[in-house]
Amino acid sequence: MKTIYPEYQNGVAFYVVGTDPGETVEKLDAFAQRNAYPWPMAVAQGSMLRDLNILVQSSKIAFDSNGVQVYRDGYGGGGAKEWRAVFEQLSALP
Amino acid sequence: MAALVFTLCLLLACTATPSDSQPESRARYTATAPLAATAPPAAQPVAAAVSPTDATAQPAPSLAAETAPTEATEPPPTATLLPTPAALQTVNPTASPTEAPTATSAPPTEPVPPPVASGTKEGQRIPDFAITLADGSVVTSQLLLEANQPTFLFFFATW
Repeated sequence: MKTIYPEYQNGVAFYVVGTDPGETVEKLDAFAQRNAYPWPMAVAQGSMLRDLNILVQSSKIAFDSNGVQVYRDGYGGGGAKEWRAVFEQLSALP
Repeated sequence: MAALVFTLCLLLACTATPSDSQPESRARYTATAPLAATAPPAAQPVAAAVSPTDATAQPAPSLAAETAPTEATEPPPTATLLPTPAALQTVNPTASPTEAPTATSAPPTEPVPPPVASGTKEGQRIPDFAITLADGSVVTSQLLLEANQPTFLFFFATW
């Protein structure tokens, strides 16, 4: 993801959202800086994790400009090739 | 000769009868003219027909001049006033129903796509959400959609 994100960061919004309620956004941001992650870190508000049915970490959701989900995957799913294809699809959509 | 004079008198008598009805018919239209004033001129046209030089025939034109304006002035006000309220009453009821359809018929020019159901599967609209960034700012799904921004969310934990 470190190599893919810079290619599409201008056309696709990308957020890493913490799934552990015990981890604050400051803790997540410190972890990202230590590992030189270039993307923004965030925490969920309210019942977001339940509403989006996020049961395990490393889940992924991508949606287009109309809010329609075009990609969902769970822990261990996907990889650089598949994620690049998702970014390509999102960038190509009007 | 006497027979000729007699026939002429008969002809004059026959021509005098239709002229009598004209002043009477005019008097019927003039409601302001008194009956006594209209009665003498009714006989005057007969005399005028017999002898045009007679002085009694002069009031007849004056009576016609008096009755003519009254006939001309009375009908027009009623004729012009009646149509305008009727026209207003007919225009106003039809105006409101016709304006409403035109106002509602303007928006359908743009085709509205069918709404996508919200859910947690591919092809469904993502449920509303909000996240807080490290700088304290809040990003909502509504803001992303308003900005036509495709988005990739990666859910993560440090352990």
